[in-house]
Amino acid sequence: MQLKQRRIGARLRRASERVLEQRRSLDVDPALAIAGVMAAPAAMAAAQPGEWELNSAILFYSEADRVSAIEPVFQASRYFNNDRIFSAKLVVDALTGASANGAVPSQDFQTFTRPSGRGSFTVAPGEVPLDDTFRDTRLALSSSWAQPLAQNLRGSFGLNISKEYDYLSLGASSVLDWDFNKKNTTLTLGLGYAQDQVSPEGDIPTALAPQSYARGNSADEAESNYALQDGSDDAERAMRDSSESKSVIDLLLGVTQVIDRRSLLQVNYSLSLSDGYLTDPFKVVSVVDGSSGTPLSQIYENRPDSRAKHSVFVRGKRAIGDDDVLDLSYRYLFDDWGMTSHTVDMRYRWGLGEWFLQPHLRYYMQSATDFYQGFLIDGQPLPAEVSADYRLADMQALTAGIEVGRTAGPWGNWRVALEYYRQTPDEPGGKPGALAGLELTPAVDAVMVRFNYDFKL
Amino acid sequence: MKTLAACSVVLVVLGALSGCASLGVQPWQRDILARDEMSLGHDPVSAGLDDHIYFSKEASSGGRGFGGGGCGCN
Repeated sequence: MQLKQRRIGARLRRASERVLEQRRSLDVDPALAIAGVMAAPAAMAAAQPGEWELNSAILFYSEADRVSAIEPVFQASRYFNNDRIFSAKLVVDALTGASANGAVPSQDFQTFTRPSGRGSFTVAPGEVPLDDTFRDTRLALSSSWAQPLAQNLRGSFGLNISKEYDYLSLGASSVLDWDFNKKNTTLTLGLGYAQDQVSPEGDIPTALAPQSYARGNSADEAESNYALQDGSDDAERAMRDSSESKSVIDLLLGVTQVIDRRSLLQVNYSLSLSDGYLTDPFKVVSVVDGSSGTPLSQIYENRPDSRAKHSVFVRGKRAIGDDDVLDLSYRYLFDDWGMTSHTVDMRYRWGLGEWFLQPHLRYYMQSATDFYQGFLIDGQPLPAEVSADYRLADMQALTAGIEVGRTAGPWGNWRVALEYYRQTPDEPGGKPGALAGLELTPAVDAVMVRFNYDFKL
Repeated sequence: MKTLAACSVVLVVLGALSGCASLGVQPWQRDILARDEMSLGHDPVSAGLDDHIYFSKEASSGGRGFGGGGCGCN
């Protein structure tokens, strides 16, 4: 009899534990649904303790005549009891193609030093100088652990490492989410630290030092003029240290509010403080003749050694009808480099039973940084900081895309997205002589195709 | 000045939200919000890929949240 009672007692206990477990997994859902600050796995609500959730993707990115990239991603998340989640992510980024070195085009053939400092490349008249040996593979590994710290308080801790041939980044981050007001409001506090080191092949160039460079009426002439300069010695002299480093501190303060049964609103303030070597060691600035516009020399660029970036990000999500979701966001960003930017992003998820279609539009505009100059005029005093990198120029960019996917069915949860991205930098003003007839910062067009596949084990 | 403007925007929004305790739903009204596609962290893998592209092509980055790692692309 006693034995029987004990058995019944144990059964009841197990049953009530199961109910509690289910409640916990229901409880966690809205909180996680609105947190979403760290790379939180997608279908958290659906995953149960003991399960692995796997999210994979591959991105193909291709710019017309410039950079191409293939980027596979694999993320695995393991769910434990009491809402604890371990997540690990691997990203491989294989880049090839041509990248603008910052120099202006010319009416002559131009021969430049390769970024490695060894060897040269020649570009035809009127062409924007692109170094076509750009090739790099990046491997990034990140992991995070998330768990409740107290009732309505959740913590997430992450570590990440990213390695390229000439670049290493190590980082750690921590995010706290505090729910209150019946979990209708979540306050988020995030803190991140990263330490990066760049060790370019051919060392770090001395800021504003001249790079070996020559022009000619033909490719052969330009190359033989270049050889006469005894470029290797020059490059050797201009080089300083073998590596440089920078540190980045990120702070995020966010509020997420449930507005009604169908709407969420998120507001984040972010501060990012970079300190150290922020110059691109591969970029140069052309020094041109003030009347003819002919490039006379190329000097290595130099950026300030610190940057404070502030942003305010507002995002709203609203369910429409039975299956649709509108996702709208705006980011205002400014920094102490004199740059201001606005970004508007809109996605409309159109649910069609097991299928969905999602058009996407993004508009971006930025003002130039204070030290951006398309070129320098010969004879004028050199500024302490200067860069001709078009990514620091006045610029607009537009992304238009569409994603289609299936959330159930014989091949599981998959989706494919096709996107078009166009950057249109403004031309630098005051182009002298022949430069006036040449395009210094042409539009950059890119096509992206992304394929995602999610499954559980 | 800009910092002041940004901070005041945040303060106004925070104030507005705390003053809106009436906003929100009861726990049993979370059916729609609980849907996967309504989560703000929906599809983090794709969001990470997007962030990486724009980080390497534009002078702005971050804002939505953070995670991932730095790279020598900018």
